[in-house]
Amino acid sequence: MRTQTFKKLHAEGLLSDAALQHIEAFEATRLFSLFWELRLLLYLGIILLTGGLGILVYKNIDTIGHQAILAFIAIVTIGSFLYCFRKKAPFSWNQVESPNAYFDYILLLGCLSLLIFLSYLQYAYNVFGDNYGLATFIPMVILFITAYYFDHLGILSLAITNLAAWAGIAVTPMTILKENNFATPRLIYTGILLGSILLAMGVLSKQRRAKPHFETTYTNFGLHLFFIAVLAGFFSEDNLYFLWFLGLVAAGFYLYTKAMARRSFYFILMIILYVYIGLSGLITRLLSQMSWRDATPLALGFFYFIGSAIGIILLLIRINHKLKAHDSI
Amino acid sequence: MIAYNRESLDNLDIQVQAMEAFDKKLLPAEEYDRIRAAHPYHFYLPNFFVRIGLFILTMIAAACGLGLLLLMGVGSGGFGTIAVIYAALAYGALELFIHGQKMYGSGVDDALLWLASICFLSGIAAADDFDLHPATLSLITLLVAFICVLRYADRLMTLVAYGALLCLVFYTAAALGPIARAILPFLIMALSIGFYLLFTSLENKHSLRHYRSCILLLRVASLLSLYAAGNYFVVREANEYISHHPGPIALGWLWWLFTILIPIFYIVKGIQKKDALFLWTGMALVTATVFTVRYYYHIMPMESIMIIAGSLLIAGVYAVHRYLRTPKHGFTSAQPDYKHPLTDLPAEAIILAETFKNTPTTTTGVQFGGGTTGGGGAGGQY
Repeated sequence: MRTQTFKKLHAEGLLSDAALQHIEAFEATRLFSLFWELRLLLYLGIILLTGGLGILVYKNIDTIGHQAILAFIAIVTIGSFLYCFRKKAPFSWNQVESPNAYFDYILLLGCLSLLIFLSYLQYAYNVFGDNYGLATFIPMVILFITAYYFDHLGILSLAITNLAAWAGIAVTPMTILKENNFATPRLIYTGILLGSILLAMGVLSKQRRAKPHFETTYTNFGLHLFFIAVLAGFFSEDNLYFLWFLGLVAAGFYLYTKAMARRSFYFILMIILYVYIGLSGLITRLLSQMSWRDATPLALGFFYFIGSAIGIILLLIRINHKLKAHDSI
Repeated sequence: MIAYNRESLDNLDIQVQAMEAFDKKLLPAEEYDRIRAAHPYHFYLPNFFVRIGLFILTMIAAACGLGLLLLMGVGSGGFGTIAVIYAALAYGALELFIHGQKMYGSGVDDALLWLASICFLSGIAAADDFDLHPATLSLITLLVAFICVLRYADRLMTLVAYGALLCLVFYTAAALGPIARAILPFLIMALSIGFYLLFTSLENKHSLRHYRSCILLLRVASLLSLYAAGNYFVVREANEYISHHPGPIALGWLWWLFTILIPIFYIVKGIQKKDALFLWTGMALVTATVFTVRYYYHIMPMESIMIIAGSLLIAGVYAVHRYLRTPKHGFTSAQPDYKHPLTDLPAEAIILAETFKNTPTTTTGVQFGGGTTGGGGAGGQY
């Protein structure tokens, strides 16, 4: 906000004296807030501390000092959770405002150090035995309970990541394509199943009014996982790929109508792009089966991409127009 | 000069500021509506995600268009000519979309601008068999980017122009001889200071108001280049690159001094002048300094540094928060009811506001970057 602009508006007669005075007084007495800076530094501090502790435990696992490290991590965990229990607002199935700006970060610190503590216990004392499923299952349950109990979207994301890890899939944005070998059928079906479950969880959250604002997080993870798994199935299948494509289009259409209903541009864009990848894959496959004696298939491919991209551009512009027009009613 | 309709640009800026005042409840609704009615803008500003989609799809369509052109024109002129012709077509299309469809930051125009510029530059480079001297290439890049900035006020293009300018200075001086090489870091530091002062004086010029956010970025860029020119690691690596003499460099103590003092200077200056630009640049550069020191000196293992730094940060934040519980010296730690001072980007404000119009505001903006136990992914953004 620049007072100059408002002086001009005042001179044009668009702004009353009172409003101009309000704005000028606000600009004159405005405090420099370090709120965002402090939050960023706190977040950085938590990431550094928990990351450092994790490495320290990992490196000193066989030495005498590990008891002290364990005690320190336990203190950090207990301290954070005690703080959160004392400060937290009463539980509700609806969205609960954080009691203060730092609450969410302290809870995050507690959860991260708890995870380190548990993985340490597993490593050093083998508390969950050789059952590796259990070793990821218990942290996951704790994370889900924490996310619901304290109403924390970030920890819900952590819990979903752990759920996927328990099922054998890496779902973080950086790892979903890198660390998963989607050529294996087991992973594809797990991905489709887990994606569907997450999407269903999203629907249930909203319908049952059980933390309805968690819906977006569930849908976000579920949608990406589901589509990536279906596309993996489509691309790795040599004969029945058309069936996969039909499935992709059907699911895409269903999710598209839902996304249109909730008017989420983000989900609409993602669904359109995923289906477009499938369609382009199908066309490329058909073209690659043509004879390649001359450049005709290549030219046809270029024509397809130009035409389809322009078509989707027009579609997106129309959707944007439609949702915006609806907005004003 | 600027391709976009100036009246609409001015009105968009007025609407953004009025929106801010309205959000802070400094402006009655009827006056806000009156201002919006009196200062309409005629831009096609799609939703933020639609913009991303349009950008990707325009890139696909345009890249395939180039492919088709190359396919048809094989043997008659080579890649360079075709790329330059295609660049001209893309610039033409860009102008058509801006004037005809009133596009402004719509994704389509962003994509066309970048595609045209990249095609033009690679066409020029290809015309000379990719044998151009780096200084010449930097000069051409600088000219193209500068013209694009003047015409389209694209922020990222501004950074390209500044980077090309620094490359031009670097490659020219490197070719001149040992004395020029020796004073190169000082030259770039002096230039950075000069540019910072220049950009700061230009930032509030009325005639340059449509470039305000570009100039803001240039200020940050000049602060960063001042630091980079004095950073021990950068000077040492650049020296090795030019003179092929690996190993320690002359005046080592001086570069270490710059490496350590410049971020501190920025932070102190940021606090003194209550300037978020200095403060954030300084905070970011502390990280760069830590990595520079770590690269040459292994004082203690990484995890110890992480634990100590993390604990200090948490304790420090707590202390500052306690200290500023009641505002002191014009500072507060309370949540501001206005946006961050660095988010002074006109079009984005409108687009974001329209995107998130009916989403409940959440105070949790936690985003995970990863962690030892496999951090989470994207949180609640959509």
